[in-house]
Amino acid sequence: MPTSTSARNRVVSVPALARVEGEGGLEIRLRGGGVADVKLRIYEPPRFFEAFLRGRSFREVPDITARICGICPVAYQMSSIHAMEAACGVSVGGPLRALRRLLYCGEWIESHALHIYLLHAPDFLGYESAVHMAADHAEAVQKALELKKVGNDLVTLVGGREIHPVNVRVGGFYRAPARRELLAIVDRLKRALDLSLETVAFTASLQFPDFERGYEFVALRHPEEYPLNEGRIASTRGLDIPVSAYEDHFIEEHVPHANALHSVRKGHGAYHVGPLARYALNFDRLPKVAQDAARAAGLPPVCRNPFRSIVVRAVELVFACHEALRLIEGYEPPERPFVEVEPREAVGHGASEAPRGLLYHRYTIGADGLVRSAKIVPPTAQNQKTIEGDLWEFIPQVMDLPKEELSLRCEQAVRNYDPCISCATHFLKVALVRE
Amino acid sequence: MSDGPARRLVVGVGNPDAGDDAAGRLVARRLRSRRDQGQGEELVVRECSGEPTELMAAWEGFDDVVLVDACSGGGAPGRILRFEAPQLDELDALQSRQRSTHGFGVTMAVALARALGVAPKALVVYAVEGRSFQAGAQVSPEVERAADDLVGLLSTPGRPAASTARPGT
Repeated sequence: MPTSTSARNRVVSVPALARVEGEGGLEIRLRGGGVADVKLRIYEPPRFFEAFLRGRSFREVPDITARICGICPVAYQMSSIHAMEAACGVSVGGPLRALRRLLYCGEWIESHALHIYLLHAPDFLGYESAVHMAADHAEAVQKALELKKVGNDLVTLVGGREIHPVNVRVGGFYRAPARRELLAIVDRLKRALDLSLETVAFTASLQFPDFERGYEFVALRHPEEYPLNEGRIASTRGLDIPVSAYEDHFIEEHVPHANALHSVRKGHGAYHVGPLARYALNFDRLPKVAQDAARAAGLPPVCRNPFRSIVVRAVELVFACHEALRLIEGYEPPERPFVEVEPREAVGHGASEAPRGLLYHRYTIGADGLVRSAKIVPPTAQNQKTIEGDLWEFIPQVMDLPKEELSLRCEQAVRNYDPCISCATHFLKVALVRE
Repeated sequence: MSDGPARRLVVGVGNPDAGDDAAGRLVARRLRSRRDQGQGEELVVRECSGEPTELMAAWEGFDDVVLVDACSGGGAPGRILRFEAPQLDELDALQSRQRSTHGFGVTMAVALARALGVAPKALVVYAVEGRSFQAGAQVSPEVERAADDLVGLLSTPGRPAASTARPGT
């Protein structure tokens, strides 16, 4: 499209991004036919969780950190619990470990179904929102609602309620469900597995920009499982470290335009966490049904097109439903719903795979069990620099589009990451400037 | 649904731990408390965070639904606004303050349900103007009083959900 000089110099401004969690905006400056600046502005106020955790009992931390996010509270509970148990020298296995994994499957199902159909699909299909999309794609939206409800109900079943679960504690759970309670959701999970396979086919039918980047993917990797709660931190550039070494390799930097810190890998720069990273590092850990679905969707074992993350999320939906069924099939209730955990003076590290990617926690506690210091690094904070990097490289492909369409394409690129700005500060709006 | 589609459902919406955002929850809990004492038994009362799929599941099977939520429209704290379905765009503007589920709120839930043909036939939303929505803050005295007023209003037997009364405005 021919572009006037004035059109070549402009500012695209999305002051409040829609269909993301939290409050943020995007400012893009175009000058002389090139990109002059890209800023993902995170203006959601800082939330100071790490500060007000100090002095609280280590047992309260999972319930407090769960309040960081209404979409991924289980992730915060799991990372904090693993960190506390590591500090106290306790390892939880058997059915309690299986229940934690099952709870996490529920969160993945609800979060991925919401993002795929209600938040991201409207971008690909040319609708302003899921409400507008529902008029023409009622079946797709109904699938989303059904999948999300199964995920919500699974979280309720194991966690006590669907948002900010109350049944999770350091050492296990307050109450372990009976086997018959879990069996009651099996038929719906089987239906959800079928819907997830249809979701992979649906997402594979969407049109994707021809865009790839040479990301360093970072995710947990476990010897046997597709990662949820456990594993070493690995990258596609050879990093392979225990969770406790995270801060030796990654650092958070303050940037003036965001209330969320930007993470970089020391000596390497920006990196990418989330479904694309998990998938790239753990394709061989997916069950055959998910691998087959990925192949049928045309996904290679490593996908570097961020727009196709919607397909990878659908593959992870298949995994989560299949894994939940597997866990329920093998479940026998534990003798006690928790193991005793006594505090000691120590530092504990925990990391788990939130729907949006690696979530790292570190706590120092005293012998009295009170928290001395806390550090929480959410996935969106880790992806911010990569999101800006994507925009620097993607915008030249679309910069001659009319301003409104250009803004939408840029928002879509941000939504590839399902960013959770509430987590990162502990919404998205775009500003495009052609100068 | 066993508790009957012919009955009126009241859903208290909000975050119980974010100051006046708890207004809807407060009304639901007080209605439930009255019901436990044998009053207002004709009402089905539920609570909900406002997450759309949760909300849509909550009203499934009910044709007569009242939602109670907080809003921040710049009016006096405790002011009660009443909206019927055609006025929900107006409500949306009042709720733009702090959506926590990826930009979805009550009005989006209603719009989505309508697009899918699963919205209740009669739907009224009462919105209470809040003073503070800070995490951990107490509910303000004005919103406490407004919650009592709404409990009285919603407990009045036989009051039609589609009433045109607009209390407190």
